[in-house]
Amino acid sequence: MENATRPQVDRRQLRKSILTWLGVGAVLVLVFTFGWNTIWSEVILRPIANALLILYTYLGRSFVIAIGVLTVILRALTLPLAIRQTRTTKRMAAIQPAMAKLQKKYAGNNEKLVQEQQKLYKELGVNPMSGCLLQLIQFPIWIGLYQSITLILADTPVELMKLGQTMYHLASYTPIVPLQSKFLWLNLAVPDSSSYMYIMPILVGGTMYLQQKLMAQPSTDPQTSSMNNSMQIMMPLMFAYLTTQFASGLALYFVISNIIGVLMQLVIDRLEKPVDPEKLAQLTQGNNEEVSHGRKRQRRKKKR
Amino acid sequence: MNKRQRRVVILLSVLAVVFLLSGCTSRNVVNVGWTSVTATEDAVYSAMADGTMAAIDPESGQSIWYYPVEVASSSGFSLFGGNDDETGDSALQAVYGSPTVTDMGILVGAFDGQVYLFDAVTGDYSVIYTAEAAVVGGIAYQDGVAYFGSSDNKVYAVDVATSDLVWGAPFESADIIWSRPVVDDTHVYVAAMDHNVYALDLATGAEDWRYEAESAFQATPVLYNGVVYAGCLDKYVYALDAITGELLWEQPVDGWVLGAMVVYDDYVYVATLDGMVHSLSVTDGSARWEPTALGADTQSGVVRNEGHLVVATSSGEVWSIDPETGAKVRLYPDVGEIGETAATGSVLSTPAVVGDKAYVGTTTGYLFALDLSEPGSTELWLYSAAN
Repeated sequence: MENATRPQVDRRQLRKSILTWLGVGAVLVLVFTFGWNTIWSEVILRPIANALLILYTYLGRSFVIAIGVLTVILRALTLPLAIRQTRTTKRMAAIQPAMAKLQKKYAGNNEKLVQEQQKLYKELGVNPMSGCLLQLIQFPIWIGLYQSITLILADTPVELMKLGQTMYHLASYTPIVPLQSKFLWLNLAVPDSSSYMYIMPILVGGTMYLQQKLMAQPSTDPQTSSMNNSMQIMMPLMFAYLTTQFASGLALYFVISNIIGVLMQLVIDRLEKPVDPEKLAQLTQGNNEEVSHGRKRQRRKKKR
Repeated sequence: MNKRQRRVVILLSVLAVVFLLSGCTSRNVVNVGWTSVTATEDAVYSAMADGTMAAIDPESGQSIWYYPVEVASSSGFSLFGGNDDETGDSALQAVYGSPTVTDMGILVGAFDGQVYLFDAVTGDYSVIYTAEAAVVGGIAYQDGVAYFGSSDNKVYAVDVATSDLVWGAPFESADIIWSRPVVDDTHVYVAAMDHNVYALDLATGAEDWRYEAESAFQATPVLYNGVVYAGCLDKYVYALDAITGELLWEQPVDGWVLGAMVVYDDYVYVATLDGMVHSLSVTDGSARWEPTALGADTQSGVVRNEGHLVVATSSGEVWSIDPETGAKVRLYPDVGEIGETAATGSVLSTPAVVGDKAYVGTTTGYLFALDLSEPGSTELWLYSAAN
């Protein structure tokens, strides 16, 4: 009788929560022990800056090639997240009609609507927030890259000194300092103020718009949809404007990163299979218990 | 909230983020230097970190004159610029080289390529030359001619009185030049980022010899008894014959040499970025004593006073080192005051020493005077750029 009233514990979820809190605790302990600046420097800034320096040294001393290769490496590291994001986007698109039905059905009962939506997400193995994880990871990388670019292109003696402090002294790539910061008409260490100063903002804005368009997440809610559309325009505009303010090396990174992002997105789109319409039909008809949570669980079921 | 209102909110939010982020960027903002300083018996001259240039009374710490007369707050919205004062004078761009005191006035090179000549008494100024890029390393002066390198890879010789170029054309190296040239009766010696130390003919600017090292030179070389000593980013100090450019000796110092060196009592004293001070014999580079650790990174050069070496660190400490033994004494701040003094901030510029007083500039825009005879004492006076 007692067992019947005790709530069921999802062990997988519990394990996830414990690991998450352990991770948060470990980060807090590190921050309090070494200080945020040290953590940032040792975990983000120095690895990125030194990776750029090593790539620059061994890839023909071309800063553009170094940034391009580093972008591919960073994109490859975040590939599993990108695939998951694409999968989520596709599944979200596929369940839009079912979501619309739910919204209609539970128009007056928000609580029930949310419950049913959550149920649908869970059955399809969709986490609408999973797209944010990629952004959350990319954001510190962007900041770290910006700092690394301004640091290693060292336009002032203070930056050169900081470069000396940042370089791993195990590697003997001191002869490359100072790095060549000229590319076409650009001085990569400073914002572009030449007569071609509108080219990079247009390239950044254009490629970012294209990438966002490919990664767009559809929504049946007209307000959300309208907001998404606005953001698809505003974000490229914002980055295009910021390009005129930041070192043009960062603008170059944005362009390369966006182009690689677009190419990768096209490949992922091709590789990622669309949601099985039969499964979806089952879901929308209410046969939810037959649908599995994920591939691992499916495999386990098959074995049994 | 309807669709239109929502769009307005998004638009305003994006604009707010853009303006906030643009406030973090460098465009249109005065590029701050690190408070470079030079001193004489009569005045301390300092290019402050807020773009002002000041002549300060060495006894009282009060300004004798400063330029420009009034500086608009640099925290103002950078998008719209505006650092000009009521007279139309602009704040200086960053000055990294120490001002040069000459018989014609005070020479200062700035990050925007302008070379200023200030009247030592009144502070009146003129721009004697504008290079194509930043003048970082300071200016050498001899017989009415200013010699300086620039980020446009060139070495200029400019007649201070007429602003004319003395050489037919500036000497051009393959990379930027951030060191101050050194001049003797026949040559101008320049250490460049293209890995070379050059000796240029004083009259024509033609290259007489060059010595190529493994890495770039940022530190200003020092000339002593016909030998040019140059510290390099390859962590070596080189001794070169001033006439022929022949390598006399090379000595590893395990750290980047960024600041100026000093020769005293037949030893070259050099501070490296890893916070060590080395003593190298002028004859063969052998060490007088084991390197002295300062405990913090060092960009500042070494200066000398009556048998003591003075050097500052990026953590804001100023040290006195005995040239004979390498023993160090902390001049500033006092142990109990670390982190509590008004002038906290990195010291990256080379201090100036006159008699038993040292004048030190910080990256946070302070200039202070220390009594070298009383290590650990508080500053004699403190001058703030904000004042």
